[in-house]
Amino acid sequence: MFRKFQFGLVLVAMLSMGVVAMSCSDEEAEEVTNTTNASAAAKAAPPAAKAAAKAAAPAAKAPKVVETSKTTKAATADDQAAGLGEGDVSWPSLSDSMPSSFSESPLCAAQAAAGTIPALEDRLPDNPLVISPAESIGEYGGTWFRGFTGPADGQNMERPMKDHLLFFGTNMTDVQANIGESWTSNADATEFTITLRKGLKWSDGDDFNTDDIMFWVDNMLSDEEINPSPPAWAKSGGELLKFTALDKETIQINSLEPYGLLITLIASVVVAGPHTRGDGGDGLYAPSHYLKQFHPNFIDGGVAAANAAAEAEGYDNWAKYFLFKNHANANPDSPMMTAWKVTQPITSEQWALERNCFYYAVDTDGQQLPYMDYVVLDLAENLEVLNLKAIAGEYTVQGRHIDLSKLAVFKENSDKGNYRIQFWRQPESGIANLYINEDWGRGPNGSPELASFLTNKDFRAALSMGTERDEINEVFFLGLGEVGGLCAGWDDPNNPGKYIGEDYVQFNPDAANALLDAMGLDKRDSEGMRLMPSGEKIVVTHSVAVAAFEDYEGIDGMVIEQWRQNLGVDGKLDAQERSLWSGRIDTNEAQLNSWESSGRAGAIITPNHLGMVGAGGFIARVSATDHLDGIYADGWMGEWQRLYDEAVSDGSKYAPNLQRVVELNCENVNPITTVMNKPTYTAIIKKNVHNVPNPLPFSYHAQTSGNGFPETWWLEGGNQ
Amino acid sequence: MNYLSKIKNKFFSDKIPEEIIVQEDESIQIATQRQLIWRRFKRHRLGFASSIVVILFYVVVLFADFLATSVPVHYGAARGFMPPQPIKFFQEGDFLSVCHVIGERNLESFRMEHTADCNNREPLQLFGKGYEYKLWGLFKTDRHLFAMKNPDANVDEWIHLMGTDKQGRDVFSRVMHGTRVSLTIGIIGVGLSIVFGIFIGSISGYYGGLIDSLLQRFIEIIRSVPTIPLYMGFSAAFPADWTINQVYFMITVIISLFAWTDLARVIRGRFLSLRDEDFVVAARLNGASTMRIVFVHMLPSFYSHIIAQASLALPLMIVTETSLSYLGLGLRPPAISYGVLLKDAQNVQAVAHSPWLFLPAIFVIVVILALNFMGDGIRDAADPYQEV
Amino acid sequence: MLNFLIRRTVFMFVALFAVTVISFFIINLPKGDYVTAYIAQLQATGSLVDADEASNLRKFYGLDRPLYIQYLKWISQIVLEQNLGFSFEYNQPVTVVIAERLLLTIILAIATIIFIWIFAIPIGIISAVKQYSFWDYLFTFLGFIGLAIPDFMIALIMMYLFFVWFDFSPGGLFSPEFSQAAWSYARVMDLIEHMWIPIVVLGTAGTAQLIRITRANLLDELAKPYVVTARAKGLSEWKVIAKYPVRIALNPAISLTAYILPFLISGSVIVGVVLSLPTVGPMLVKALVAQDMYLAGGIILLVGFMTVIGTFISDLLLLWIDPRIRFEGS
Repeated sequence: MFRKFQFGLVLVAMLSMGVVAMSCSDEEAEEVTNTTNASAAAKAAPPAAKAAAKAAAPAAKAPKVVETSKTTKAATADDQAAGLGEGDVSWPSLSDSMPSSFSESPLCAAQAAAGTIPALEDRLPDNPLVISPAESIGEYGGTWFRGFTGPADGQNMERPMKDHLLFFGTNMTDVQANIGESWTSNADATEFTITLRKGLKWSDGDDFNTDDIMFWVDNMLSDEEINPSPPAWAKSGGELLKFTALDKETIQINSLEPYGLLITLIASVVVAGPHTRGDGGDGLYAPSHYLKQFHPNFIDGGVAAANAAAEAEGYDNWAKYFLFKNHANANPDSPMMTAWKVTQPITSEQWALERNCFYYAVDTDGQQLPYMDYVVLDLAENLEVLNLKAIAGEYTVQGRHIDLSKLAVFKENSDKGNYRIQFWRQPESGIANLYINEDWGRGPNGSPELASFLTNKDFRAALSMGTERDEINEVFFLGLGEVGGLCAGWDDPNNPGKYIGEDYVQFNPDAANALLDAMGLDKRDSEGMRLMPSGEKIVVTHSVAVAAFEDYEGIDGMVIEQWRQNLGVDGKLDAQERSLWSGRIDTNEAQLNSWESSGRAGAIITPNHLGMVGAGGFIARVSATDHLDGIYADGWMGEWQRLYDEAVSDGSKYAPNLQRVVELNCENVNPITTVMNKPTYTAIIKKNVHNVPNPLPFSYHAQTSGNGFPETWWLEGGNQ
Repeated sequence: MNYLSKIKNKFFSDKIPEEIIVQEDESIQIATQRQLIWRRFKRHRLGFASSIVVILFYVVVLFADFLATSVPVHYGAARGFMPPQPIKFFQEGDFLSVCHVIGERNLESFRMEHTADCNNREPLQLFGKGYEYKLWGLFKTDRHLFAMKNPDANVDEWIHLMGTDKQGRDVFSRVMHGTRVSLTIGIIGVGLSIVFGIFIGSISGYYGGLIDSLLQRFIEIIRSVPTIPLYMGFSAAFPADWTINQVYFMITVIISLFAWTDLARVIRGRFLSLRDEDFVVAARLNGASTMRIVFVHMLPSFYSHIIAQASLALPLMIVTETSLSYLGLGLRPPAISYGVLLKDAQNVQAVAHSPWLFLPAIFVIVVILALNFMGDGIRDAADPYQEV
Repeated sequence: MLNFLIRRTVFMFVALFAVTVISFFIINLPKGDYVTAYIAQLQATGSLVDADEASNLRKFYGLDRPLYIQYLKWISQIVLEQNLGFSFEYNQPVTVVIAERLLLTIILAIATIIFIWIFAIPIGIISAVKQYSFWDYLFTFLGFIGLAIPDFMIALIMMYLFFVWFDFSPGGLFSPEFSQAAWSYARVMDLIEHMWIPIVVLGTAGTAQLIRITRANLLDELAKPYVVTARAKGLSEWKVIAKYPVRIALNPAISLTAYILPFLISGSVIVGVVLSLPTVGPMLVKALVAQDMYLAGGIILLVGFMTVIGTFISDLLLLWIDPRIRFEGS
């Protein structure tokens, strides 16, 4: 219920925006104006869709909007092998051609006829968002059944229902219109304007305009109680961004320093909207007409009266109560801007949503979206139960929480449950990276001797070459992942034909043992385990989180055994609940952590994975904290930090530095990657569901499945 | 979670009356208490048979490595999820032999498929050479009950009496090692419970009155606190650098910390009833110290009850360990215990496709039943009229 | 007698107080607090929270104050306002969060007890009357098997098999269409339909116990002279057994019921987790993991409360049923 991110996330995904906004400005006009569909459609397509991007490239040259980005491309080899990638690539897109007339679902029409809501023309904005669906124009009706795991699972519906002012295309890199219809930035990237659609309405029928943004700025962002420390993205040069409402539809944002990535951040989950961030007091705007009754600035009697009202409801103070009221998932009274609105809170056994008859998007035929009337999520706190329900065919579309290791059971029951299986992949992502803590020696139980090995690149290289990645891939990911390094696909200038670190991800016990012997680990005990020069056995402790998305306990257990058998390096598994595990990292007690890394493109967006900057960092938490105080680490980590800082301040350095920092990780074998690119989600989709993009690339910042435009998904013949 | 088991235990103590056959034998007149108990116990057929089963389990505890065929952590993706493979008898001159099994993932169904190729057989040898281990941590040896006759054949690839798990590890070997861990936890835990139980129970029962009341209330309070949060709280407090053995020991201590209350109640009851017996009064009048009265005079008179109670507490320990491990609070891999093995099987794909992963449960059930019946038998033998 | 009642009542409150202290401090035993858990959960989705923000959050939730202050605040709220505190994760008062779940938990426990009675008592009587018969051995054996199988395992297997064989919707206590509906006849029927698996899983162990107890007590009674006399007088065998021995043999079973109720509630934790039941058990486990301490504390307190009350009622029942029982000090 608070800021779900912070200062380290300065740059979100987006080569395109950062680079486009800053580099274009030199040669082109003073202002870069973007309209409905970002023209850089194909500039930075994800690898999974390279072919698609290529095909779309010519169209992208023309400033005109592509009517539909439907292109063809063979499914990836893996997908084909899995029999899961049949058919052509089909992606949804935004359309510039306004339909001549609009129509609505029977559900809304009935309400309008009964007079409970205004007529459709009065509900839609003057200029609705027109979405061209991936395959076909849909039919209204049906319920989207899903499963969720409890009140902490808000992302379950936050992902598919983006209420960000701007949002991404399916390729996760192009910023597109959403609630905002266009945006501009000046040459210095210090002044931005976003123009909202005219005539937008909240789900309760009230007007949505810049008042809602300014309410958030003045009464939430700047309020000490609600936002004791404002989110990092809202600051530039140490100052809060300055927001000005030019009129009811135009908001102007000024930053102290160049902030070329702001627009991208606004589109991403970092800024998002009140549905995702409202419970933490963020989200760029808020339903002012509704929230005023809970805010002391608008109540007679001020803080005292607000607190009294909160206490009467069982809340400690007004701020907690206010934030609860702004938590749409838990408070169905809170108005929303999303395609569906919450009718039963996330805290109940069944979290339910119903179509928002005021939603601002239509299809190319002018039908108001979404197609499906309801979303119903059943509580399944145990993932085995959730998966069994999916196997039974109880869910309409569900990727979240689906367990890849049950694939055989899913396949076996797919006819009975009447569903198909689709893999949603995250390009160049690590699944179970072994992050070696370079700062461990500075921690409370660090021993100098062992630390000298952990910080030794050759030691890590040896561990890496003693790891049998094929075995891990086969056992834990059914062979659906890839065995390769983080730098795969980038030619090593010093070693053409190979990428940096390629040799280290090959299983090569002889080379590994030779390295270990050479560095003074040549003595062994009676069990064949290597001893350090002092005579003490070398033991590498793996700290892993249990009940995480992957079976780190199992994977690391296997790695430990591999190192024991192949290298004679003993290991220990320290498996903990997630909070305790993360505590181990905070206190710098962990020697080696196992965790994923998001797509390679996110190295600078989520630097807590590969970097040693910000407050996160698996590789060197202490150095990361030092870096906040302006102290750079020695060696390769210092270089990483400098490249990062450069990319943050100078957008033109973003792309080259992004590649270079990842190469530093590869050169220095930290993290040691195991398996790459397994399907992030194994999506279970009822056979009669249409318009799910194929393939659907996955990312956190673009809130997959949000980048698949679920409001355009429809059920042929209703729920089956 | 374990309240249920606790009650189980409580009500196990309500003995089933057995018909007592009065002995007309002359030797009964001169038999010692212990001999009498032994005779009666032998006549309790179910209890006696069960005690043999229990002994067998403890033989497994002592010789787990000898019985295991392969190192329980040896993995191999290609032999993952292999169903149990039978041993062939008398094949072309080989007394015992096994067929070669080839595993491959079916890319249609995504299941591992294994085909046994019996043209490619390897003979087995009883008491042959396998992996090297230290018997009881002392004697280095490589003898195993089953081993490959051919020294070049890798046993990991050949013998899978109870199939393999996801990582291709031999389930039979893992069960042998799991038995060792789980039953040792049981014994140590019960031992600790007995110590706590005797200590508190004897104080309570010997002194009676206010001290007794206070201790009884204390026990009741402990019993009213749900165990799961207690276990969670404690197990979360373990430091990172603890070895498996330390965690293992602490878990035993924690289990016994909450298991002694039943035992304490039983012992207290015995003390209360013995307090005014002539021999105790006599000892007191003789000026024996309290410690002496308790440990030399009173306790030996109900050793057998303690043994009975202990064998009834053991199954509780084992069940508790499996439940804790299921919740992720007990032992964790790479440690192997019944709980760890059952947790491995606790998923839909195991129920659907690899039911042999549930074989460890049969061991759990058998040992729990055997211990219960044995406990009943001992208790009935010790004192058929004893009300607990 | 009165003295005894007063003492028991006073003790009941002392025990409750002790339970609150123990549970509160146990919850706080693991390193970190809700903020740590929350941050960890955010990190899992790729978000980050810096140290400043973490300390602000702690302040926001009052977690920066010393433990005993937090405890005193909590306990005084409970006593003075019947307010169990505030759940961080649900962002709602604990009483609101657990009300429905507590109701379902109690319903499930009572249904389980009824199940146990329906099966255990007739079987116990048969086992005793036909001692050492085939049926006696069969039921004793089945009862023991029920006791020995780990309940989490049988729960999963039953859930899967019922899905495969009978197309049972896995997990939970309601079909989707009833899970939020108002109570109605249809909803009750739906609940009964879904309660079978948890009842059977939870009930097997209890059934085995009650069979044993009934059998043992009845055997004791059957050996008594008054039964022999009744038989000698030529009463029908059924009358001989049913008139007194069965009634007396049921006494402990009745007191067991009050005693078993709270145990069933906490005993259902694992089964609840496996079957994803909307009961307090799984919520407790999650609250503990998330270090949502007032929610966890509230549940522990209620379960502890029921245990203490249950023991109290069970003592009273025994006293009432069987006046022969003496209590120390009375």
